[in-house]
Amino acid sequence: MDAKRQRSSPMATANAITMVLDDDDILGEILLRVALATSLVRAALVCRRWLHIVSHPAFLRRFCTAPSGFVHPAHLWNPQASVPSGSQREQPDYDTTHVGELRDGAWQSITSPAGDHFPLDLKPAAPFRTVIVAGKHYLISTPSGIAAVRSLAAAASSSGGTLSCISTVFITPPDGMDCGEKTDLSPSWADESGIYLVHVRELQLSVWLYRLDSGTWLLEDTLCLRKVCADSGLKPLVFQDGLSPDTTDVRIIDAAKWHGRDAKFVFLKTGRRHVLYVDIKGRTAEKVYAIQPAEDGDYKIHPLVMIWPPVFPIIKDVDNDKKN
Amino acid sequence: MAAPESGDGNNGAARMVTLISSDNTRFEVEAAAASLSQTLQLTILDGGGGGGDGIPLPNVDSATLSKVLEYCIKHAPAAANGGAPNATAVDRAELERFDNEFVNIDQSVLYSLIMAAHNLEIEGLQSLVAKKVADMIKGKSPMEIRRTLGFPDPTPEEQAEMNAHMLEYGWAYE
Repeated sequence: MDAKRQRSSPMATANAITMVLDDDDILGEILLRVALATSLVRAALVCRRWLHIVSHPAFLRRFCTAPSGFVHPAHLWNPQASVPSGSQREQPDYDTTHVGELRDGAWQSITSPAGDHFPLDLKPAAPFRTVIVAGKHYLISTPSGIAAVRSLAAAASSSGGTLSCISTVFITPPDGMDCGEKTDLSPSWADESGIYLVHVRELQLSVWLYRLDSGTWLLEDTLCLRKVCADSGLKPLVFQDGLSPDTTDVRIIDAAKWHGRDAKFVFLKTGRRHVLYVDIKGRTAEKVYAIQPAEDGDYKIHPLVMIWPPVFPIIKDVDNDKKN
Repeated sequence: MAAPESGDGNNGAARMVTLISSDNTRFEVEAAAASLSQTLQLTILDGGGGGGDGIPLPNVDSATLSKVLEYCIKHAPAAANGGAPNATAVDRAELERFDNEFVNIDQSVLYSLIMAAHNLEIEGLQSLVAKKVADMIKGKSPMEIRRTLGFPDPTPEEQAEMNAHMLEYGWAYE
């Protein structure tokens, strides 16, 4: 009975590789364990057979629930893989706001109406930060405040020219927020109607929510980073050699809509050149990266949320069934 | 004969079975260890493999089988505890250390192990070796994966397809 379960020909080491990779079951078990959605997409591009295996709905369901399978938000961050395929950029200046959008391989320019002064003082040397959300919304923050820019991209792209299709809202930071030079304001869109703002002062992290409809700030959450790090078994953070004034790369994204998970998180850079991932809801912190001296300086982190399930290439020709 | 893993043969209580590799090497192991294989388990429950009989494994050579049995012997006690819910952290750490060391092997041995684990249906080992190969794939571009796994160079059609995908999935090729 054993012999029946096994393959008929004796297995020589030399052809073991071929046998392993030719067996859909075994290959599936292997690909199930690549753990990251990005690795899965890469594997799908290896060859057609691999693509068929990983794009199968049953496989994707298993991938999602496999023990090594899903995707700690921290792992979505990958310095090598952070180039989105369609990207956008903004170039604010003194008088007008220009938004360049890359659509179908060509840059389209959208400019705010003449005389609609950009509300922030963006001197070329002043530090500012831009955030793009959902392809249509831009947040530009400086120590003195935040500008929320909404572009009406559809109208602009149909005419292809310069159109006054930008609305800009200027938002002053919450009362009492220290907005000195070193302050890092990290805004992100909550949804259509709000803006999250994460603020770190010494070892206190605060999450504010601004409601666009009422124009008010609400303190959503505060968190003591010292306690969170201690509870998570990390080296104690000390203010002096710890976060401030190095909190340059503070990011939050609201991933509540993503995959049904409530995954608000923030990346912090500490004085020890460690990158910490802090789960705000779960009150945990994890060291995810040690910045090498050569990489130091203007260090950026771009958290990416993979679309799930991934969009795989479509194979057009007719012999798909044969391959299956 | 080789029988390298029969060190506990003097324990009279443990039932031993004999496994015979494709190159006719006989391995004597405790039934409990061999039973980690779903394939062998039924045969052993039926009383097979004892005495001079031995269970022939025509698809597994002696080098691979000795490696497989090394795994089974190490994991048998924990498996006997029903997945070892009461195992201490030290035990678990020791098994983990063993596993990491165990798959730190040449690729050809690794693939032989995968086939053997698959044919013999040894769940823990299947998962361990699959994870090891997955780790070799992780983070690599499609071309690097092909090179790592020793694929032949892409055919012109495959290359054309890759080039077409590259427009849309450029990041994945970096």
